[in-house]
Amino acid sequence: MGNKIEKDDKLIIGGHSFDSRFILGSGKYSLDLIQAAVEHAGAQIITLALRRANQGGMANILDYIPEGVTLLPNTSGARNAEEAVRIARLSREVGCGDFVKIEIMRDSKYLLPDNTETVKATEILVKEGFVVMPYMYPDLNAARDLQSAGAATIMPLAAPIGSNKGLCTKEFIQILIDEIDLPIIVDAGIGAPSQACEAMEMGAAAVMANTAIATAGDIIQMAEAFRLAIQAGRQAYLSGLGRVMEKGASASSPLTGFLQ
Amino acid sequence: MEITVNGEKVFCEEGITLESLIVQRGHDKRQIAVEWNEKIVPKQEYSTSVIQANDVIEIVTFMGGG
Repeated sequence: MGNKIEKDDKLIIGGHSFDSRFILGSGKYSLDLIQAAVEHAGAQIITLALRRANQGGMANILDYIPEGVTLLPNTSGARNAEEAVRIARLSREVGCGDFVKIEIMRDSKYLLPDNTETVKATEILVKEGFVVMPYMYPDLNAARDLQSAGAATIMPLAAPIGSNKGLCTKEFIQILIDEIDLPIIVDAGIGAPSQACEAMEMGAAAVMANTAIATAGDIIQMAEAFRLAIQAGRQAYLSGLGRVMEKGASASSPLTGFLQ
Repeated sequence: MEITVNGEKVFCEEGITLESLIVQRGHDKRQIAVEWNEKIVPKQEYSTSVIQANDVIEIVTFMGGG
């Protein structure tokens, strides 16, 4: 039964179909752990950053990512739409596909995304044929603008990047899930499998995590724990959670036939 | 002649192509992208792109990131 649900339940992003609902970030790991982390996470999409290449033929992360995994370059380092567009175009030129996660920050303390610049960059990159996945502060108006601009998904933050604080913006993410007809992928701040599971129970289409795994005691075990939690949360969402009572109690055992 | 690569001044021989520069610096061209005087260069044009003095070149690749 559970397997049947999973088999038919695909995550569609920009016309591409994925079985996994766990997007894995690749930052802060040693390269030799990446392959195992991807495999234990069951991830089919992995994020990357674009940077100046070091001289001297050093090991490249692309050599460590299993074949068939979709690469999702981010535009980290961009402070406005123009810089994000430049990074996106260069990323595509490397030759690993059309996906891009727009990430634009002016604030270096909390690393909060600039929604206005993100909308501008989305408009430009969608016209250039990118599959645009914008990272954003969970604001309904901005999400609607991103949708109108042609974004493939919306990626609201749960908490500041790398904080592992969990679903601080829960109520606002729920509004996006309820109102926006695009996959809502909770990104940033998710620190524990229980939080990822909760996001999925809420109806998020997927969860992205990086620091929670990279800073865990055992990276491989944590990657797997996240995979299981995300699957569990998805299955719970599809099943429909039981109701919550405002007050009182409701016996689970029969209220008749007691011993005298 | 002097050019700027990834923000650093470097010396290279006259008439060098982008392709040769990339090989000299130890890059695998399947894993990089190049911006030459603020324009992106398609990979198939590396071998015919002859670098001039004072050109500004950015060579980028992927690294771990979230």
